[in-house]
Amino acid sequence: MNVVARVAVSAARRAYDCYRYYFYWRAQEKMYRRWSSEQLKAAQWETFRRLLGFAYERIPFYQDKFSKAGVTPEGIRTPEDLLRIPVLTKDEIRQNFPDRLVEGNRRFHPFQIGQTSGSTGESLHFVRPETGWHRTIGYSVLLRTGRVANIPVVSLTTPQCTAASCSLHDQEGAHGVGLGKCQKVWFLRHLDQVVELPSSESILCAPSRYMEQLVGVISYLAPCILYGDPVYLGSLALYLKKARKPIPEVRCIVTSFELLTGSLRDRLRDVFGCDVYTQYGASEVSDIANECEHHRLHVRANIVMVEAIRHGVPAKPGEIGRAVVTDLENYNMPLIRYDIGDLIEVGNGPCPCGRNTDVIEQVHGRARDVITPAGADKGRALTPLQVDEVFRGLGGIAAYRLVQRSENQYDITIMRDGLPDNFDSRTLEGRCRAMFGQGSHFNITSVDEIKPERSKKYRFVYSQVSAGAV
Amino acid sequence: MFDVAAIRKEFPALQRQLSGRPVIFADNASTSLKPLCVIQAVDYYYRHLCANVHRGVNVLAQEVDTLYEDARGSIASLIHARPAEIVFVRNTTEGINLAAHLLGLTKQDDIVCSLAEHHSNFLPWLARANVRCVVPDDQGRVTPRAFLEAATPKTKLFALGHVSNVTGIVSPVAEIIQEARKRGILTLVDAAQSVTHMPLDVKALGCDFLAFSGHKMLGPSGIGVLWAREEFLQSRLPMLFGGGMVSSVSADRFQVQPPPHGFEAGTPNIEGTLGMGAAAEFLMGLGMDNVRQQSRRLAEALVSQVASVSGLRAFPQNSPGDRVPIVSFAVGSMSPDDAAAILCNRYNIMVRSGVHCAEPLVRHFGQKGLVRVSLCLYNTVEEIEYIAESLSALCSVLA
Repeated sequence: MNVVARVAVSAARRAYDCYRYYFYWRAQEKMYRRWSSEQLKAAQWETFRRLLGFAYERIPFYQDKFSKAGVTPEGIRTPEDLLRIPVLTKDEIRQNFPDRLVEGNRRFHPFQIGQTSGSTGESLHFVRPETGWHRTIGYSVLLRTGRVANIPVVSLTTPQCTAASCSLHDQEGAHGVGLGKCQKVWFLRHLDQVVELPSSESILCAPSRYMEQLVGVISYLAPCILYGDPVYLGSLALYLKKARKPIPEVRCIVTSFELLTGSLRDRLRDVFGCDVYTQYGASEVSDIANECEHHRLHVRANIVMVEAIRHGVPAKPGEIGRAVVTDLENYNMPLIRYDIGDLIEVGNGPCPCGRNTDVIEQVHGRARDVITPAGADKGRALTPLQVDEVFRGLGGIAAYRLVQRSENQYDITIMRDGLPDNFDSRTLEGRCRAMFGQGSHFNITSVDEIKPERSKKYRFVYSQVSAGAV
Repeated sequence: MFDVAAIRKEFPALQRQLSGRPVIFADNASTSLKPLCVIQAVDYYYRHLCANVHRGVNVLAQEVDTLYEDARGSIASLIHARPAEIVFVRNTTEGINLAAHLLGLTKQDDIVCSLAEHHSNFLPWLARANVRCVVPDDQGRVTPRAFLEAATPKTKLFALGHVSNVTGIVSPVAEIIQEARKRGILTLVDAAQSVTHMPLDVKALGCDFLAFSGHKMLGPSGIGVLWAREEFLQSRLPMLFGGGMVSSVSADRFQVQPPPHGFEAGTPNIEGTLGMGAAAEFLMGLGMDNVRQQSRRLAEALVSQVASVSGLRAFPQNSPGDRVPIVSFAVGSMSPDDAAAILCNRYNIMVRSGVHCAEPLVRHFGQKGLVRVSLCLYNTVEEIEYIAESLSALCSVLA
């Protein structure tokens, strides 16, 4: 086949994919609005029971696990029975993958092997059905723009996630491109939604030359939506502000991959002058929930079932619990009641946006990063999202790291943003005392760089004392 | 009688368990585990000696001098060399670089080596001279004839890997060296992968240089050996200059010590040397012929077990003949890193994935990377069977 024919076939395939997913997401959107909450839950429950029966029958790991727990699919009749099913842990996946967890003949049930970025500690291998690898941001795009085709999206995230999503998106038309090559891919704007920008190993200290090129490419591609890791996008925003560069006009910003904190949301909103939404997902489960125009996260009820578990029982609305997720689409490697390692706050009541799915009020970060202050506040767990409130609105901070060294001893490392705003350590200390208790001691230092974890993601808050207190 | 069970007790790392199950260490081509005697030798130095070598007259320093030279003697015995020909370096890489330095190569000189070489026996030549590569045949083997055909009148040296760290195939180095000598071409043997698996006799081989590392022969890391014919050591200037390698220094001249000390500038890796000496004694205590038999037994079992797993593609696919227990393969369409990580997480099998510092060979096989299982004398046939079962399970689901 000559080059022209090859390009034409590729373009046609991408266009077909684009519209295929567009209709899929459109139908899903209608379902979320037209079906009542009860109808959605009933359909979700039926799908769950089907998956449960399948796992019990076909997956050796679940056969053993359920037998030990005395669980049979027939015994799980109502959602209240869910708690009888033991939670699936990451360690269990690691120790049983693939032979005891993966089902099926690849020829008849095609799947892809994936690997998590390792942001919750250690990386994890998993498989997902090939058909389940929807371009996850497509739905977000649809929500924000009402369209999918010909809506250019530019994505910026960690090197690992860029590599993973590039290979993931290869089938569906997205491209990881080198900055130098961006000039040659102008046509991508008309064929694809996602242009993956090359990442940086340490975005908080990325050289200005890299940032300049990044801004150049974004301006050139003129995306409607800027998508990516909030820390990466936040660094880009800071650079634009510091360098007084013209701000690329985008319709909105959608973040994923990592926790979108209040301070990062503020920064992105201030610099780009547009709304900021988050999309909650995980590599092994795909897209879990999307933030609506009222800034509440709607669970994708037809794809996942989400529980928030607090001290072994379902969290009540307004409470924070560990996210326990069941992937309803993955029959190749069923993830049933999988403890994903995150903390979520359960939403309450119907959302004014009109979607009737379950609502997550906020994602609070990783369970292992919870801080438990001493003294009068003993037993109270502070999530990374809550801790971020201490830093929110304080000038002069590009990034911070708060580490609880002992019960009442905290190390706070500040990376200054280089802007004229003054950084006031006394205000910070006062706020910290209010949050962590009057008897707490804070060692505040300034550094030139905060280094990322091995996964190249950043861990801004963690405790060396407590672990997963929720 | 080679009592593997008794030998395994000498290796504390083999007692390690992960998730309540024993660890199968199958990454010995990267580095080997260390027996108690090696650990004790290093420990003894730190606990009881900790003096510098060849510098003092105090009791501790004298004891270190004795142990250090004893270690040199042990290592010399292992390869049937004279202690004066043993130069301590950091590793095989440094040894080969030192040999390249001693030869005083220029871009006018030709070096012939195999495409299967480790980067350590490829880049030192590529950086200094004109390299001519011999491509292994379909069975992954190189022949003396192929080397001679690649040689030109400008060829100064044949750089020979004794055992490929990717395929485990043993090259016919003795025959190649014999042919090289007839034509006045020098030879260097990279023995990094062979020293733990077979007896080595530099005199019988007839090579001019031979290099190997301590950490791959049950010894500590950061210590290795370059054996060179004395004539090269006597007539060439060292690569490094500094303390401990001179007999006299004045404002405008210096006198280099006779080899090997003239080539060991600065304080050496004393504890590493003592550990390497202990490793050499350990191997000789087992009997290198016994070690070779065990290596052959493991290689045979490993090659046949890997061949029996459907979904694996070994490189080369069919290679009868002499091998050590090292096999590299592709696991279906899986990335080698994924396969290696799953083998570790699920089955506690430690293997290596990637290009194994032999990128030209892996590319020659048409692969971006391979999974490598490499065994040592303390591995068992039962472990090989477990590895094969695990690979079968992996392939049946994912490959």
